[in-house]
Amino acid sequence: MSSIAVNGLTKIFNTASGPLKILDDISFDVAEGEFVCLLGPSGAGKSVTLNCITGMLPATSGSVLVDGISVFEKKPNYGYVFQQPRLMPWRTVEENLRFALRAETGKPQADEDKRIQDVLELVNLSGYEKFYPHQISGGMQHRVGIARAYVLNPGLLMMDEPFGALDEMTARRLRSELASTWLKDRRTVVFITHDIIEACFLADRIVIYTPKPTHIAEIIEVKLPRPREYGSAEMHQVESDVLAVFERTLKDFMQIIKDEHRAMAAVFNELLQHVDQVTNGSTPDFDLLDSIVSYLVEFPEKVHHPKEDEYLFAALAMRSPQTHDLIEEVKGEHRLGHELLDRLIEALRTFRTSRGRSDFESFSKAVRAFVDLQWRHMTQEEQVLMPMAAQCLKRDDWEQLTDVFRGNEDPLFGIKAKGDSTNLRKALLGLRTDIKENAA
Amino acid sequence: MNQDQLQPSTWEGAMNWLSNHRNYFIGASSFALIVVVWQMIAMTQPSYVFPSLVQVFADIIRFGEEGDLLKATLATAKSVALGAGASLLVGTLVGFALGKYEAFTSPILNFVQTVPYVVWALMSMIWFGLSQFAVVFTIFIAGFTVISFNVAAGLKQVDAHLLGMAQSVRANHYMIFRHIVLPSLAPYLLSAARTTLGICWKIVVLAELFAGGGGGGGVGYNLYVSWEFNRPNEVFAWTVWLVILMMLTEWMVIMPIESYATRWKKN
Repeated sequence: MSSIAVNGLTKIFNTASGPLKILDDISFDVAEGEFVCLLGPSGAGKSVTLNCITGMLPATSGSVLVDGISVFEKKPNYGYVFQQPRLMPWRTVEENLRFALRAETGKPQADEDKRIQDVLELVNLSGYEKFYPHQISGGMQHRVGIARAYVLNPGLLMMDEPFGALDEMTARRLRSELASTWLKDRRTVVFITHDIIEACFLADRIVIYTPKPTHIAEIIEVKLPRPREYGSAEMHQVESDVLAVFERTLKDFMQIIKDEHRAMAAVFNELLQHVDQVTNGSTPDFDLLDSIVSYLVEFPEKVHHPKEDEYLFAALAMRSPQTHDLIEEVKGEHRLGHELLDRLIEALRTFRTSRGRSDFESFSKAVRAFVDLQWRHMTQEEQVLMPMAAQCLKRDDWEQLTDVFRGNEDPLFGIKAKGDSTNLRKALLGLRTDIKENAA
Repeated sequence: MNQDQLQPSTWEGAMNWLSNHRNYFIGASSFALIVVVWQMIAMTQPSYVFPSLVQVFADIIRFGEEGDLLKATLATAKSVALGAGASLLVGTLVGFALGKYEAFTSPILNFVQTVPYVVWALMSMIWFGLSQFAVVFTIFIAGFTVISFNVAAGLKQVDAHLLGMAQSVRANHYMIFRHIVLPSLAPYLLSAARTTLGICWKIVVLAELFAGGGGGGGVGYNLYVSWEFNRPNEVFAWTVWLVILMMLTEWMVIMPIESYATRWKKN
C-alpha cells in the first residue's frame, strides 16, 4: 500500500487557443490504505489529477510524491480502472488478466495462475476464467476490470468514474462489491466521481474540486463505518455537507465573473473617455491603448462581454492613424457602434500622416478582411484559421492573410454558427504588433 | 401406434432441419438458377457461341482423362499460392509502412495500383522472360496493394480504448502488437485475403497468357490455347473449371481460416 502526497500541483495545457490552466495549486494527501474520492463537475481536471499522480502526465509545477519518491523519478505501481471495462474481446477473462501480468516484459511471470485465481476469487468471479467477455454480463466485465487492476499487486488503485456509465441499480451493486473487495484486500484508492451519493458511500475522505481552473474547494471527512446505508440519516448529513460546499463554490465562481465584468466595463469607459479627449484635440496615448488591447485580448475565456470585440477593434483602429479612410468605408456596413465610430473618425481626421499609401492599402485589406468576418458567427473551421491569420500578420504577409480569410475563391463565412472569438483576439494582437512597428 | 402422434413429430423434425439448414438450400437454389439460365441460353444458341453445361462438363472430364486438367491445375495453383502468399506478406509489411509513413508510401502504392494489370504482365514477361516467376510476379504485384490499403485502414481502427488500457498496465510494444493490434487487424486481413485471392485467380489467366507455355502450362495458358485453336467450347470449359477452383479455394482455404480467426465470437 502506498501513500500519496500532492503539493501545489498545477497543470497548464498548451492548446491552439492559448494556454489553458486546468489545475491550480492542488494539494492533498492520501494515507496508506485510505479511500479518497475526487468529486467535482465534468471538465474540472479530475482525470488530469489522476494522470499526474500516475506519472502519465507531467505536472507544470508542484510535486507529486508516492511513498516519498517523486513520480518523475519512479513511476508508481498502480492499477487503473476505466469507465468502460476495456477487455480484449478476443481473449478470455483469464487471458485478459494474463495480458496485464505479462504486459511490461512480455514474459511469463511467477505464479501467474495462482495470482489470476486469487484475484478472480476476490471479485467473486471464480470459475469464469475461460469465458469470453461477450459471454458475461456488463457488471461482470466491470468486475474483471477491477480484478485486472488488482492483479498487478499495486500500491495504488486509480479509478476514473468506473460506474459512471451504469444505471443506478447496477452501480449500487458494483459499489457494494467494490467496497467489500476493498475491505478484503485493502489498497490505497483514488476514485473519481461526479456523483455525490457515490462519493459519500465509498470514501474515507472527499476532495471537492471547483470548475476550471480547478482548485480544491474543500476536503470532507466521512467518518461513517462500513457497510454504509443509502438513505440513512448519517449519509444524508454528509451529502448535505458536500452539497453546501458545491453551492458555495458556485456562488464564488459567479462572483468572479461579475467582478471581471465590472473590471471590463471600467476599461471600456476608459477607452471612451480617451476617445473623447482625442476628439477634442489631444494626442492618442499609445501606451494606454496598448494596455487596453492587451487586457481585452488576453481576457480569460470564461468571461465574455458582448461588446468586447467592438471595443477591441476600436482601440486597435485608434492605435493606427491610418485607419481613417477604412473606418469611413466600413462605417455603413459594420456593426460597430456608430456613435463610437463617429468619435473615432473625428479624432483621426486630425492625424493624416504622410506615410505611403502602400502600407495603408495592405493594412486596410487585412483589416477589411477581419471586418467582413462577422466574427461572432464563426464556424469551427474559421476559428481554426485564426492562428494562421495571426502568423500571416506576424510575418507581414498581407496577401496570404486575405487569402486565408477569402478561402481561395469561396468565402468561408455566410454559415451562421456559434463560436467564440478568442482566436480572433489573438490574431488582432498580432495585428497590433505590426501597427506598432509601422507607426514607430 | 398412434398415427396422429407420429406424423406431427416427424413433420416438425423435418421442418426444423430444413430451417436450420436454410442457407444451404438458398445457396443451392442460387446455383440452380445459374444452371437454368445457362441452359436456357445454350438451347437458343449454337454450341460454338454458348455450349450447354453438359458439353462443358464433358470437356472438363476429357481434359481430366487426357491429363491436361491435373497438370494445368497444379501449375496454376502453385502460381497462385506463391503469388498470393508473397502478396500477403509484403502487403502486410507495406500496410504498416503506409500506416506510419503515409505521405511517403501512399504515392508509391497509388502508382503501383494504377498501372494496368496488362502492363504489369507485359513488363513481367520482358523482365523475367517466359517463366513461371513472371506469372507469380504479376499476380503478386496485382494483389499486394489491396492488402496494404486494408491493413492501413485496419490499423486506424484499432480500438483507442484498448490502447489506453494497455498504457495503464505499462504494456511494451510487442505485447500491444501481438494482443491488440494483430487481432484487431484480423477481419481486415481476412477480407483483404479474400479479395486478393479472387484477383490472383483472375490475373493468373492474363499472366499465363503472356508467359505462354513457359509459365507452367496452367489453366490460363490452356484457355488461351483453346481460343487460338478456335475451340470456344473449350474456353468455356476452362473458365468453368477456373470458377470451380476459385470456389474450392474459398471453401477449403479461406473459410477454415475465417472460422479459426473468429472462434472467439461463437457461443
